[in-house]
Amino acid sequence: MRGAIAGRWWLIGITAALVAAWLLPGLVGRYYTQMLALAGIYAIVAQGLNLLAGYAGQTSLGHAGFYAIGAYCGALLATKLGFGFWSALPFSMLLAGVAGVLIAVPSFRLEGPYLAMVTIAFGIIVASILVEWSDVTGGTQGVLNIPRPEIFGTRLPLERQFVLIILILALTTLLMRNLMRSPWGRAFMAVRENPIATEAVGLSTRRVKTIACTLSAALAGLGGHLFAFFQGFISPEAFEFEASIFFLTIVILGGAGTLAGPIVAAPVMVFLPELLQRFIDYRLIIYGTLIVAFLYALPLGIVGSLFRHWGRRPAYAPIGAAAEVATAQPAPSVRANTSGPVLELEGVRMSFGGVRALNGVGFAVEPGTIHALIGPNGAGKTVLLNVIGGYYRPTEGRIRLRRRDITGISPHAVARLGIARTFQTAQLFGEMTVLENVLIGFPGQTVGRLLDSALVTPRLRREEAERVAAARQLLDFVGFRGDLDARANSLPFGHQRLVEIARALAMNPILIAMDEPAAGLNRIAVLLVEHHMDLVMGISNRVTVLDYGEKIAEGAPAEVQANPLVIEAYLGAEDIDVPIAAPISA
Amino acid sequence: MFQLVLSGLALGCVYSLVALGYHLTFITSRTLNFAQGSAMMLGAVITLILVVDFNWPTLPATLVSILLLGVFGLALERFAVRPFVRRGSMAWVMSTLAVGIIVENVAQLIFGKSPRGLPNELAQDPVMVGGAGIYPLELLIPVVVLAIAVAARLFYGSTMLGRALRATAFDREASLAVGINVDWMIGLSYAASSMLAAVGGVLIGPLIGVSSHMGFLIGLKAFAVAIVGGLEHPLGILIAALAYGVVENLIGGHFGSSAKEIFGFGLVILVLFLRPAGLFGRTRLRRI
Repeated sequence: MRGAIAGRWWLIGITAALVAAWLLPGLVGRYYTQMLALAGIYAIVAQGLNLLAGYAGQTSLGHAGFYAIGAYCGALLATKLGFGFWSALPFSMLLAGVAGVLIAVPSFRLEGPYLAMVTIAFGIIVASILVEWSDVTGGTQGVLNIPRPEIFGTRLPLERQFVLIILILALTTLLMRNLMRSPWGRAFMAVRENPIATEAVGLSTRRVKTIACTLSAALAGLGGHLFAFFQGFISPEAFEFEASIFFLTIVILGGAGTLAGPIVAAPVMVFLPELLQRFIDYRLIIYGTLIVAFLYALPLGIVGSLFRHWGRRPAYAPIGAAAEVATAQPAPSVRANTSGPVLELEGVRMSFGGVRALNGVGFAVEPGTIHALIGPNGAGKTVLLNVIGGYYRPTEGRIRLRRRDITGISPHAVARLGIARTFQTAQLFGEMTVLENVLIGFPGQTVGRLLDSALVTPRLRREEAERVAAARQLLDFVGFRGDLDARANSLPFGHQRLVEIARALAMNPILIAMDEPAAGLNRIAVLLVEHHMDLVMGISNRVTVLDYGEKIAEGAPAEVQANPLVIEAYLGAEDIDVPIAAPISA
Repeated sequence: MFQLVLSGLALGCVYSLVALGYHLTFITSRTLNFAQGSAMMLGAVITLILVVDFNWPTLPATLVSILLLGVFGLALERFAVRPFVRRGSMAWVMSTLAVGIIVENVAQLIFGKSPRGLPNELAQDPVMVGGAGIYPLELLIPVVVLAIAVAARLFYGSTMLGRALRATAFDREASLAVGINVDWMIGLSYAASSMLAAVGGVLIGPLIGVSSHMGFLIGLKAFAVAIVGGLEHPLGILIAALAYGVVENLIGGHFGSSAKEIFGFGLVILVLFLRPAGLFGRTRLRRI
């Protein structure tokens, strides 16, 4: 029942927005209607930018480029090829989306200022092309006489265009809301919060970033298209670098990563210059000062600060969380065991520059065993796990998972094939909730399922409910007793570790590679890096000892403990007289 | 052709001065001063006002202008960067951009919209070098940049302050632990970056004219070369800046100015695609 009612709130919201949009022009007059319509268009573009910069954390300083592509595509199709508003619309969004892919691909490996540079360069290139390619774009003159949008053959008057813009804004907001409460939204935020962990749960950061950039660009294209048909003319000035800053300011002022942020901030940014109209000469000076003041006073943006004030997180409960599903979920299942080792390493070497971190390591992990990997500090244990996990490509050697060669494949592919990983310091998605952190681990929820996320299909609702139930069970299974809606970065370290293990289990792995977890698990093969000897010796079936990048011993715990080489590696040569009372934990 | 190369080199030198400013603030504080272009413009505008309106000789006017820009840099860091960095926020991107907008419009208010010439004896009569007519100033520019580079080298290597700056760049925590005033070092890097920009503005002003919006595109291009060279590699930045200046001038000379931006920034995207940390930067292996 709750789901059914909650599912209707958006309908009420959209209806209210439309009624308001229908009545408002009569109250505020033509001029302000025009301003509000512009604000609506900017909010749509900012909503798209918010998806990329706010949720997925990839700041773009070139969104005016996508906006321009949508505007010019729509305008040119209409004026040169006789398209209408509606028939040109898909092309404007598509072309901007394609540009989004083209920008995402060269940016895969870029971070921070380097990423910002590509987006700036893109924006400037587009703006320059608009001027340069004057045969098509009309150069500095731009495109004139763009027909107004029509519905059933009637040109819409300004008041009704305004309603149309608000309708589209409401729909994009709904789309964003759906996305952010579903698996794809989790994926976007995951990339922002922790790219390493994103790969570790089997999500390709490249794919997620590309989708985010494409959707974001398509929304900017939609905004541009609306702008062209609403204005009736366009020229290059509207699409320069300043416009990109303007859109980013709306996002940040409203609150990056908040749903309502762009809708609140766009009108502020449109009306602020109007208020300053009588200080025409000082306008931009006051404008700049106000931006700095806003940033200073509202570090999380208008909406973000309000949320903080009310003690709420500006995110949305996962769809499944509201559903009260009592279906008994099977406990974490283990993939069918086949005979032979789960994981085999053969002559793995890893050099960093001149430093040899691993020098021909080879061993095998048998199914259903706990295999400990020990060794003094700097022996290469974590490096070995990183090589297995695909984070480092080994200089030499082979790694096989269930006889399949996985050497050198990317971390998310390794994860998807069934190796889950926990890290020396727990790698969680800090600003996401405990529940979301585990939910993201379940396989098969994103790839090829974007429409499910965007539309919140019944299938998605059902699956999300199942995932939520399973996630609760897993958290219970690992002994997590805290608040499931707490932000992961607010948890004490011990709890973070539990959540990380629950997430690894959610992936339904063949093997869990744990870096110093100080906590044991059975039933799945476990490859464990650990310093706590009592733990290692107590729970492990098999122990491999590394020193200076080489395997110096392997065997059952008792054998290894008695091995003189191991004793020497840990305690140094015999003649050094150090009294040892307890097991070494370096 | 040869002329385009020579004047491209001069232009590239100016880019490198502004770009090294991005480098300086980045290494000390991981922030970038997006008001660099405006600082460059401000340097040129102040010099012009002192020289033309107050009849000062060029050299003292230049020095005063550079000093004022140092103060500007300190203030910018204190009020538009530090408060945000303290919170771990990225809002310094927007705030330095906003300061750029403010500065540009204040300059426009005082200075007017139309560009004015900054008179300089060295930019009046071209001299012939290898068959190309070139202003002596364009030959002086590389000399000035070289002198600054050598001075910076000495300053970093053999003064306490230089070492403290380098220490801050290398490891902020450790610098705090040995008693270096890290905030002051970051402030100084902002001052130095604005002063470098001002030198660039004074050098290029006589060649391209001084206006309130002269800094915008140069500031962006300087950012581009700083990125392409590798933000942490001053030598890489210098090389990238010179190359950009020359290539851009050659393309501009043959295909016009819009084509220049399209090719120039297109090249930037291509380089970053191939070398994600810039031409001379190395992608660091992430520690997990």
